[in-house]
Amino acid sequence: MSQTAAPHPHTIALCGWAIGAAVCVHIAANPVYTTIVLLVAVIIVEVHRSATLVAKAFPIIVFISAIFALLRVALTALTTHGVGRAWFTLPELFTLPRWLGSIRIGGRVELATVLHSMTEAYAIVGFIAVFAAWNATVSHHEVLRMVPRALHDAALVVAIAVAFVPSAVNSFNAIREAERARTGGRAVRRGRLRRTVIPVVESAMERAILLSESMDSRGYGHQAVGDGERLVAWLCTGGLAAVGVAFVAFVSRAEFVATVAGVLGIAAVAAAITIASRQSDRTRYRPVPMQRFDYVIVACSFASVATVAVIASASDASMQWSPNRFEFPPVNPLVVFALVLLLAPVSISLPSHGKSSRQTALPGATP
Amino acid sequence: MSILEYHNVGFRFDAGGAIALHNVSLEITDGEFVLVIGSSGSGKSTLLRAANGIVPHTTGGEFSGEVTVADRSTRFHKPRELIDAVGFVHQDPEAQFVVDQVEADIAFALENLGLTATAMRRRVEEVLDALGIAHLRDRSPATLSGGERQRVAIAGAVAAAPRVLVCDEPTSQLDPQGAEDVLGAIARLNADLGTTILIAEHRLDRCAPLADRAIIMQAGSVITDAAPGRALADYPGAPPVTQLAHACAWPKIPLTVKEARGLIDYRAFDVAQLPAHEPVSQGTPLIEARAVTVQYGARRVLGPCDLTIAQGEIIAVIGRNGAGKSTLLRAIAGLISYDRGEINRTVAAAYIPQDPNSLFSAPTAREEIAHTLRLLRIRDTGQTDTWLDRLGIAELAHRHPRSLSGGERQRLAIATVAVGGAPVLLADEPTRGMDAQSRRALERAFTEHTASGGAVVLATHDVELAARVATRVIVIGDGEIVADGTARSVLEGSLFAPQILRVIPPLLTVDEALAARR
Repeated sequence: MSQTAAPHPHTIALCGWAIGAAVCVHIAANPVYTTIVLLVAVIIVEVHRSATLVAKAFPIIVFISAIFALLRVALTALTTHGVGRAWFTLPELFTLPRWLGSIRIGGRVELATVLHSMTEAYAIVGFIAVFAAWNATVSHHEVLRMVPRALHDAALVVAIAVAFVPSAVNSFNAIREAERARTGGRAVRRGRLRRTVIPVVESAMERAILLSESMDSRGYGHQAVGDGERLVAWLCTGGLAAVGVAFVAFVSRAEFVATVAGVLGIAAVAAAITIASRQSDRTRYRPVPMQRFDYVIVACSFASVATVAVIASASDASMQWSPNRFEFPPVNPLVVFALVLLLAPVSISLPSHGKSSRQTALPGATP
Repeated sequence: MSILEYHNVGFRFDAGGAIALHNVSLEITDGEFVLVIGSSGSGKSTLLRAANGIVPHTTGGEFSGEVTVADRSTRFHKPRELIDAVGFVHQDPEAQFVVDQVEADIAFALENLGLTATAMRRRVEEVLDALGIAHLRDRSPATLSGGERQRVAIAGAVAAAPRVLVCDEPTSQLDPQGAEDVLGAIARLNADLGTTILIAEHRLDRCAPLADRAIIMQAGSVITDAAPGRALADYPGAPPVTQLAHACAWPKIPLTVKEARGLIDYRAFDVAQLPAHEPVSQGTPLIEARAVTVQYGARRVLGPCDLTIAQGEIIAVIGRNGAGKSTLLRAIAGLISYDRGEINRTVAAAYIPQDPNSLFSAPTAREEIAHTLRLLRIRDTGQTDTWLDRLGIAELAHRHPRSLSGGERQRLAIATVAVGGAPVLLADEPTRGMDAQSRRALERAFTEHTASGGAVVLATHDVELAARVATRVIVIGDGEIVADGTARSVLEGSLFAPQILRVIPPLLTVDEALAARR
């Protein structure tokens, strides 16, 4: 029997939640708000985590992002000077050449710089934690099935790559053990990288060949290429070029050109995807419909973003916290309430939803 | 009416390279169950891959002749265009999944065909029921047992309702229960749905009785094409009862224990000459394990276990999957730590892992073996050649390890570990996926190793192997040793006894039975 204890949010609902949470972290760059989003992400992972190996990567991803965040803070503190009062002073290590901006490494470390950098770095950790939570809760094959048919091949490559992760990890562990078995339990460091990497790569390649044979035998690429392929290619190329022009124009503050090129570019890419999707004969097996609670999750996420954005536009002091000394950040209760709305995915696992019409089993759930 | 035809098919992977198929002509009738056998490298896989055009469309190479399936030539149709004619199943179930959910993976072929939602839904339900895997529909293939995975892979292959199902050693990586389930599912597809089956398989005791016809291949050619009983009569890898019947010139060749019991004349065998008591071991103890217990978290996976490994012993450790066989061997080898008890090693013990591929990193088989000596800083005074000869792979010394067949890779892995000189060899499922020739070479190597003062412990599901070579058999259940004694005393009365023991108790092997002939 599959695990059916709690309904699982729809992939679109989880995507909506992740986008909402990420935008909130971006707008409300205040450590208290970031902490709330982080806690929300942890709770959602605890409640809706899938049973796959990829899902177990949540704490690892957050940990790695925290290390990079600390590194960012250290580099900023060592290279940014003249913003505020000195907190303490380090020996000046060296100054980069003029063509590298004459940046001075070491010397005065300023409290305002450190605190500002920490706030930004913490927001980045929150942002990555949201992505990691989405990755841990979403079903990757559902994501694959949701993409437009024209993008199916690209999405399939990603899905297969994700599916290879568990076997690559198992293969790595088996290889490390086999190496110790070969030397009677003794670890020999010389050439260990080669002895580990080559079997992992060769095993992956063997599996890739077998998978390609299997996919070919199961009709992958069965349909003939449509007549409109050239039009799709031109639309796609032109659209992406226009988006590039829009970006350059935006950076150059040519707002009218940026807007026109951006709209045209996105329209061309959308048209290419639509035409290519219509040309594909590929069908979809059992698309999962959105339920009422999925719409509630999307609505709550949207409400959360809207509330935070409105408060930010009113120049609320708590939204962009830039301290000069150690102090507790200002907190707006309305923003806290808006961020708590991001817990909506958790609410569907409460008892009142126990007899939901969609008791979706978690991907990889075991009896 | 023939559904699959090979007309003078020849194939080489490289121009001017070795011949993989030579002038093969075959006709397979709709609804037939055809078994393809032969030693490693005989061309079985190439023959099977030619059925839907993987050879030559995916592999490349020089192809001659013609293969037609359901009146379509593979010369003009790629595998993806023959999805409704041929379904293909590999030996490694893991390498066949595209989607991480069973039900969605089965539907993959149907989505590619562009079937309507209603047609797909109905077909998936039918396939789930036909293969008996409806309860697995929401699971990820990564969480399934080997047998379940292979049944899901078969479901994915037959979803498009192909008229022919081609299976390349589908049970070679499975335990007996998993293999039984998979072969049962294939037999049901053949019997109930009329699907034509073309299968390469080494487990002949289970598969041969299901087949209508057996084809034996050698050096890329078909050398025998006959009813299974006739084809297998003098085949070295035939089931023991078949070998016995052939050696004793019985009027009919049996494939199963039941058939053999109906044919045997018990008066022709004198079983009283067997020794009444067989000593377990008289050698010097090399390794002693006392009350060894291994836990993964709160779960006890092994023990408490007591085990003494003595000089000259070949110990077969048998038991179901997850019973603790591999854990016991890895604990003795020092690869995992144990929570309680003690292990006293007076000599070194080397562990040979289940997956030989995890060892290979050198460009040739010889280099691979020599590399172990370099790692251990031992001068090669001929050990590499000794182990190449001992395991019958001297001719393959210049080949890349990954270019070898499953059985050959397994033998190379054993040589790679054993060359280090450890007196105690701990082999985990060493005969998995091996052909008869490789098994014989392996048995010889183990016997020679023990004769030179070493000991061997095998974790295995192969009771025939245990009956042939083991001086002692240990049964593990739920992490504990539940039986320990000579092969005869442990296997006698067991539900999984070797075939000869079930026909002429207490004889264990064909050799014993032939020696007991009056």
